[in-house]
Amino acid sequence: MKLKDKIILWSRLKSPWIIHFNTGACNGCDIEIVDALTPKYDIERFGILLKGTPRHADVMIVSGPLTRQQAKRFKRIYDQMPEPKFVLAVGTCACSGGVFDGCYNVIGGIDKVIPVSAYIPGCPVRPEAIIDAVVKLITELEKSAN
Amino acid sequence: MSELTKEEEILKEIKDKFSDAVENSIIQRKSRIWIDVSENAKLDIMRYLKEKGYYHLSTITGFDEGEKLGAIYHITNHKIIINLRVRTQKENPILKSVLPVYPSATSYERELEDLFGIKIDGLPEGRNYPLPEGFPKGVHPLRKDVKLEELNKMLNEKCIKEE
Repeated sequence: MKLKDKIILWSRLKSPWIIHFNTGACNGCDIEIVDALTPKYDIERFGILLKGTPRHADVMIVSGPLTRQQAKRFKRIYDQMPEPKFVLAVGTCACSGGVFDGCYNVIGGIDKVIPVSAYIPGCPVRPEAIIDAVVKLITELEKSAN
Repeated sequence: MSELTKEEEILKEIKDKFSDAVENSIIQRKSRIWIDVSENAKLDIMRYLKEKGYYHLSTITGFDEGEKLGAIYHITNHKIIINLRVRTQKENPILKSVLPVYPSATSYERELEDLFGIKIDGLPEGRNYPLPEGFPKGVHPLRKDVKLEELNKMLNEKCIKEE
């Protein structure tokens, strides 16, 4: 591996930037994501920063079942993220559609439209689970690089 | 019934003024009045209520009773809620828009058009709301005769085609 690639990988692992996307959640999972970011759990101290635009983000954190209204827009936001990109499905709804599966306005889990790196079940998820998923994602990346 | 005097007074006023239009009425409990009114007098009653201080159209509920479709207009002065129920036939259902009285009703009426297929006379043209663009025309998911499984099958097939 070239030195340049090593530096890029190092920066990517040390400070993954995230974007939060709500595809139709009830806000339960959104609050848990905020909980993970804010001082009690404070994953920002590990360099995980919440970004306002998909163009700056490495990891997309998605909460909520994928509604038909949202599907096209969601795909477009995903396409705007630079490679390599990772997606975390937060909550039962994002994993499979949850209780909303089968409703006329819901497609189901977000994996119907885009590839998902990690599923975090729970209704709502615990902030610890989100942190665990992020750590697992980073360790997998580290392993794949070696 | 002494604590309901205020509600009874309001109902009596409306009944006296619009005796032809009021088909049925009930005072459900304190501050909750339900009135079935005819479609033609709907706007006049609303205008009258608005003058009396019922300035807030809280929301509109649509319903499907099998033979008839309809809407309930929840109008409030933030103390008492008056629920005006209007019915229309299932074939070519049509209701007059309440925009002249309550301009805030646009999104509620668009929702009635989308989800129940009730044509709103006087509502300006616009895009689908809340159904997504490209939703099959003539399918109104909140009607009782819509079979959810068939609808989902059709929608998913359409989804695959688009991709």
